Amino acid sequence: MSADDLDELMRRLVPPVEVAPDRAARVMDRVMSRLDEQRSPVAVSSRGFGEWLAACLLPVSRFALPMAAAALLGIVVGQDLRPSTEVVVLDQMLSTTYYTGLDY
Amino acid sequence: MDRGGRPYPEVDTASDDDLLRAIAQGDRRSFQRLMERHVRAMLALSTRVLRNPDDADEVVQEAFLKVWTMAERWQSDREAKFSTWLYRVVLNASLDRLRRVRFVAVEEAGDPADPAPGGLDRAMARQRERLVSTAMAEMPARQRQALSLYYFSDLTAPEAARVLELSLTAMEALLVRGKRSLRTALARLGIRGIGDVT
Repeated sequence: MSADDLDELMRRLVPPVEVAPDRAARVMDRVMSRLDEQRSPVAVSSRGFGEWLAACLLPVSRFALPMAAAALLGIVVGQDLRPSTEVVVLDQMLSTTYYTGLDY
Repeated sequence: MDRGGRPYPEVDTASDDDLLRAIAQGDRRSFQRLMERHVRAMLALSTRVLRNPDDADEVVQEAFLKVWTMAERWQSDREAKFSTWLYRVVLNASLDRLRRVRFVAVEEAGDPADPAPGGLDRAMARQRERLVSTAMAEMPARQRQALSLYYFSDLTAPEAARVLELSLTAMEALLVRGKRSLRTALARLGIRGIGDVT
């Protein structure tokens, strides 16, 4: 199949589209009305502060208890994991011994 | 008047860049005029790529909404023409949508023919369009873009090259490779010549 044949074939498979004026007008009207819809968030901002705060916090509230419990558990467990004084002292001793051995 | 006290451009004589400057100031009349200039070409391109007028309408609506929001940032002094940019947006959005809906279309391929007068013709036309869709889906994305502009838009080769941000030579080379791929893909679907689709 030559390049010209392919072009002709494509013209037959997907013929040109004639866009009717009323279809174009409908699409433009829809764009303009969607612009109006986009402006409407101004109306949303006029809602009460309490309603806005509730809308923000309500989805978070169901995580509040598990997160608080996790934080408390972290503090309790973390208490036992803090480095003890003995370990720190031993660490200093080892360092000191090392430098002494090198005659510094 | 815009914020600088200048009158909005006479819409009939204004360039696209003039209209975009007015749109950036919120002038809806200029926006309407800009849409009137380009909407039919965009709908024609998107419809031929998608083979679905409803989907094409949505793609074009989204593209123009993008124009409204980016008008403020549009730089009229740069080389790219607005229409070139718009073609690129609509083409890429259409190809992207086609990729997403293709699987649904394949599922519908087994629908029985409409028994109403002309139903068989319509079914055959749909079948042919699906063949093109399937063949082009197998091609590399860049070749698909080039062929879509070549076959489905009213752009000249230099204009299509600008849409794809290519030199004319590179565009021509891409078209040659694209046509070769398309020919192979169509042959795999049983279409080897014009006689196979009449």
